[in-house]
Amino acid sequence: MNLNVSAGEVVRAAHVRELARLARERTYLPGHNVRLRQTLKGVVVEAMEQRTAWHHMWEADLQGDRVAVSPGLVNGRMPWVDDGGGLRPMDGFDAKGKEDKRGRPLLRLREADFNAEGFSWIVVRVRLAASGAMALPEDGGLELVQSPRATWLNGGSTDVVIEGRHCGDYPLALLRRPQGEKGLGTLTQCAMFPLNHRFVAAGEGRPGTHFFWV
Amino acid sequence: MIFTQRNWNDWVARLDAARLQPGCTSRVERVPQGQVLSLHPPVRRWRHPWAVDVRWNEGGFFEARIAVAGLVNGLPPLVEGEATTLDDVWMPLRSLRGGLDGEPAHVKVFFGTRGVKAAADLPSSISDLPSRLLAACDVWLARARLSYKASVTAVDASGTSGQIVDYAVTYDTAALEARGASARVSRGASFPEKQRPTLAERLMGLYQDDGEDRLRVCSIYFLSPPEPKNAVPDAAWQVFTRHDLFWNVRHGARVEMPKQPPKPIRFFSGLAAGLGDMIINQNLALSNDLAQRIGAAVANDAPEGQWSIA
Repeated sequence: MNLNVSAGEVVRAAHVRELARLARERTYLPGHNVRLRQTLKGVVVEAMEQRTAWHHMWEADLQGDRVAVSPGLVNGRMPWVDDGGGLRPMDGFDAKGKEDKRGRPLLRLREADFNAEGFSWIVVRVRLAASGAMALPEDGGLELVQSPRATWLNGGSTDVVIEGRHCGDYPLALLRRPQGEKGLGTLTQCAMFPLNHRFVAAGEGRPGTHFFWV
Repeated sequence: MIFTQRNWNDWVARLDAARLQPGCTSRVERVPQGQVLSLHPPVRRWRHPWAVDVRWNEGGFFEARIAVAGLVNGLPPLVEGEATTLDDVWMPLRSLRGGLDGEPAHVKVFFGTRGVKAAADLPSSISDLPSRLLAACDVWLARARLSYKASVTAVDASGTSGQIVDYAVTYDTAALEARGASARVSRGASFPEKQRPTLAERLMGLYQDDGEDRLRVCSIYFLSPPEPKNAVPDAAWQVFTRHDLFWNVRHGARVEMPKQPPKPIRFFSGLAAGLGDMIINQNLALSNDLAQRIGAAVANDAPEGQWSIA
């Protein structure tokens, strides 16, 4: 419909309805790789940062003093993260699939959690239930934490008792800063695939060991 | 409300001007709620851990670096001294091998079809290509661990119908003390392949373990221009990298001495010829049973490590 009118022509209801439809159609919505901001003078279009072609599990991304880790699985279960507001699933959705208004929980990093060599790791920590199996994530059985200790340097991860619970860590990403310096350093990805976990209890002079495999 | 013609047409023109048009890296979808704008910026190529870059050094050699740091057990391996793959270290590639001998078949075909001679199994149709030379080297990961040596001792050979034999394993920390427990990136003309010893070799003490597990990262090939004047690679040579490792890895091996030295296994060989016959004559039920027991013990004692994807 041609909405332009000539001098003296009557603007009919159909013209107004069409004009309203056109106005509605000019509403802009953000699609892939786009962020839109409505201002008084128009819409600002922001292209999202260029990303790598492959987005894998456990993809860690430094955001200020926090790190965002894309969802991953251990034994088919998703770890939880405490972002200061309590433990929440790392993908930002609750058990019913409802999106948390607070967004995805980000792990707050601590400068104190670097070891003397300048290393710190983002790890997925498995905690065992009394049965010896991995506890449920909501019971703290699977949590993302920052750790200055590498307990996995020779294959399996040595069992460590923290606050009375048996724990095993698996490194997802390495943070490294030059020795003697402060700050959170640079981040190097370590894990990229879903993980399996099994615990082998201590025996015959051998410590309890958490085995993780892809 | 009264519109003038100009006002009304101005509104229409403004709305028309606000219609999004897709450009070369964008897409516009019209939906009932409006227009969805999507952008497709150039996607950065994903580079895997251990990706290697090679460049010419004006000092007269090629050099390589691990461009995307790889991790072994969540730690960067050492490259030169105390530097690591995170430190962007360029490694001079001075030790090279030449020709196609010993290369895998697909490598022979790849470079043979580009004019590299001396590959016997190449099709004759490429014999007219101008001759080119090939040089190569390898980059690999290495991690020291306990080394071991098996010894077999005849304790009592006085009987005429058999022997009492002790099979014992001794461990050695020399490799660990010399190279440390950290993984290292090494390079050289050829990847030092390690043949897995047979049971017989182990039992007879013929196998010398070097106390190190290795994993090839990549092979780097240098292809000369046609009819080269010099056999030594220079900046005019083309570089091809064939990666073998694409993921961060874990390595598990014995790096600590057993708290108690392993007890020797003592057995009675019913064969007068002793242990050698036992291994050779495996069709004998008695020998097979014994070989299985010893094999299990040897496998348990061997400190060779395992590489796995992290």
